[in-house]
Amino acid sequence: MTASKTVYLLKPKMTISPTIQLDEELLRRSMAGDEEAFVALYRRWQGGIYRFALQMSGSEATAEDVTQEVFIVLMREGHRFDPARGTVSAYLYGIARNHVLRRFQRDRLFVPIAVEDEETSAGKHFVAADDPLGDLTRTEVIESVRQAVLSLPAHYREVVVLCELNEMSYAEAASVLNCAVGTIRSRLHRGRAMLIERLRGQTERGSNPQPVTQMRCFA
Amino acid sequence: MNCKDFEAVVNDLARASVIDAAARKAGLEHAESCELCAAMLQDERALTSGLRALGASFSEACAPARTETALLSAFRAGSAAIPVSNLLSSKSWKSARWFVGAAAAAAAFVLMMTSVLPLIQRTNERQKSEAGIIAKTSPTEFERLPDVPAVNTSHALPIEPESSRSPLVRDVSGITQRMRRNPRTWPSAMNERASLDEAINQDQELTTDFIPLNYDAAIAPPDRGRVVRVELPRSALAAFGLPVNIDRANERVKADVVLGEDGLARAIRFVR
Repeated sequence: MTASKTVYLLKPKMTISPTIQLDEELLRRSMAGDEEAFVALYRRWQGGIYRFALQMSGSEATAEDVTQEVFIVLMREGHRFDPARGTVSAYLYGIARNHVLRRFQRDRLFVPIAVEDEETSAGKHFVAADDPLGDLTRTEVIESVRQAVLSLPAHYREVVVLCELNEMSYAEAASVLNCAVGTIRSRLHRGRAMLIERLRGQTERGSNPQPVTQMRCFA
Repeated sequence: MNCKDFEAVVNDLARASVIDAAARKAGLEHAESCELCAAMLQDERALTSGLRALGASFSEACAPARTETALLSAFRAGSAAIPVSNLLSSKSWKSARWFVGAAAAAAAFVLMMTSVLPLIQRTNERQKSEAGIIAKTSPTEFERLPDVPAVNTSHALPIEPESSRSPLVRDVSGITQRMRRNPRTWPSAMNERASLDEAINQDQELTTDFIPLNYDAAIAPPDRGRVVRVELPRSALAAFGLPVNIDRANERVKADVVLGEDGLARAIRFVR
């Protein structure tokens, strides 16, 4: 006697959270010219977008510009939003990410002039030699972590910013970056490893400071 | 669990992510028995706390009020003229886009056919009339380069109207045959043919004399060779001592390059 085997093909239950529904409704009304809906949508997401751009670029001016550009794009092209491809928030973060990356490409042409006084540069160094990563919550070390995050390559930085600093889930980050969850996992793993290496490097430089900066004249 | 397996879960352990309870237990047990992995977990935990502290330091950050004001102004200005497409539902707009795309493709096809077919007919007619000219030259090469100077050290050459132009290398009949064999090559072949026609018919083309490219003094002027029409950056003129208009430095300039049988470039002339 052969045992009959019942196979249930379970279709994943599509549940749309009230938050997502609210965003989509606000977007629909905004596109129809409802100012209140636009303001509500802006106030719901401007903080996250601004922080993402700020954490990615390290510049308040860039973050402000990117936030403004994201919502201007939303005004002009919000009708292109497709709920089947993701949430409104992922759509907004995706626009923000594109603008930030475009700025990186543009700014690559320019070399910043570093003006660092002795006091601030000394304060940035991470000096806990015995336990380099043990005291990471200290205020002065937050700056070290910030610098280390900013020094990551963009595709690792964006994952660290989304998953660690903005506490997004892997799935949410994958939706924003339009890639697989596995890619997010591997990039986060690599990004964290690079952060640890860089913080160690900062520690070593901090414990063995080299205050003399050589200047070379090409004239 | 070994060290490699531990490395796969160390992030989740340090971040206190939701992971399989068994994997979590095995990972923590491994960290107790392996010093290196314990140190790695400690580093990861310290990094997590540092990142959380950094994230918390941004919690109050938000765009300044002037951004909202500017966006509201833009919204008010923009909502006065909402495009019709926005008023269509998503589905109907998609189908409308398909329709517009299909119509544009059909129009482009009709336009291409009406413009290409007469040209093809003309090509056949012209081919017959030009057979005499083309037959004098081999399809890929010509017998002699009469206007290549043996030695020409003067680089600052005046641009003069060309009286005796060298035979062109490209084969008109070859292009036509290619078009017959494969209609897909029509657009590129037509462009090629048009430029060839232009070169044949245009008596106003101005060229410099050929300037020898003396890579090596031992290379003698070629008895046989080919002339190839190329495009170069206008800045290449400067390399031969010719004046360059800085305002047009980004534009390209045509040139004929003489290639010897060995494939080496022997001389160049610039064409306007």
